[in-house]
Amino acid sequence: MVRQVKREAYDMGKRTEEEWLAPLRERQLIPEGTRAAFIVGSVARGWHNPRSDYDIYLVSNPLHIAADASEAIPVPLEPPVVSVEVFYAQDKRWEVKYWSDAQIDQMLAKVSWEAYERGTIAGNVLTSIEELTLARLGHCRPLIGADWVEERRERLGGTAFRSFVIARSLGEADTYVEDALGQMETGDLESAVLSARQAFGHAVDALLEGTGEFGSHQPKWRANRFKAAAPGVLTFDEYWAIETMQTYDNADPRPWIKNVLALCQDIAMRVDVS
Amino acid sequence: MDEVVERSESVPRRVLGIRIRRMKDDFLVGDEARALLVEDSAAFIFASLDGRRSTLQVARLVAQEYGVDEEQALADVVEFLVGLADQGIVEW
Repeated sequence: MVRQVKREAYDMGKRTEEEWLAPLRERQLIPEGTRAAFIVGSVARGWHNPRSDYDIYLVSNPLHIAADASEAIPVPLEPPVVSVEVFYAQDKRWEVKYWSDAQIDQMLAKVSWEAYERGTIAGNVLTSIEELTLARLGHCRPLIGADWVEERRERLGGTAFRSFVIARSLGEADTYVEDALGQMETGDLESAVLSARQAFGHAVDALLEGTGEFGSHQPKWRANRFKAAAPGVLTFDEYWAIETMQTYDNADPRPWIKNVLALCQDIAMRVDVS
Repeated sequence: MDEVVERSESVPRRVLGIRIRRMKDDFLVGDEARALLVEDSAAFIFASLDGRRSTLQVARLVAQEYGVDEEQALADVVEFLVGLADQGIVEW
């Protein structure tokens, strides 16, 4: 099984852009005015498995909205919708999301330094789908418009996106730390343990976002993102010991909780939000 | 001077639950609306509080980093930490 997965990953890595695009072309899913098409998600990162979908973003000008789109997702942008095409090919589910050039520009404008300095909260400035889309620009695999992707990556690097998401993650961590302390004070240790775990997750997300490893809306990839970032403050083994509660003692949870909360604070001391 | 001697072997810790934001080498400590800006040598001291080092050990780091007399560094560190303790940011 492992060999089969490795083989599949190897084969996908060798697939040409045109081989990736062929199933889309056969279904007339690449409209005129396409500026860029890129693979995102687990396949783009090499983290896929035999059950993974293929996720592709397509950027056009103007926005492509298929008459028979599988789904239309509302977004707080102009045009206010992203259409999604789903089809099955090569024993896989393929999902193609259509964005417009203007929508990407608007998302980049939302995370300007001016907006950050006004004290706008990250959660209020971008919806989950917008944040994930910008986050995915960094690690996507271009199929069409590699220059377009590179130019947007550079523009993203010049925005306050990193600071926005770090501030949001640290804010979430603070909230859960506060919860855990209050719950410990009243002796509600089970709740305090759960709050401490949440706090730690958000603190690690901030740490990873500090290195450019975004995507905290998808905690299932946190371990992989940690390995990719190798942030230095914690080794992977130290991180994993907390994530999997290796030193937790059910007879006396307080030391574990306090240790985790102290670690969250240590992380906040190390992550530069500016 | 008594306080300096008294505190030198104590281990100062940052209080859990205190909001901390790092900006380059400086720190904003406490609630956003009335956060304390900790910068320069104060930031160095604050970053040295790992919950294991005694006040004296922190003072030695300061003396080494800034090339000052150890006794003077200890007095400065204690004064700074007592101020933070009064604000509920550090505990001994």
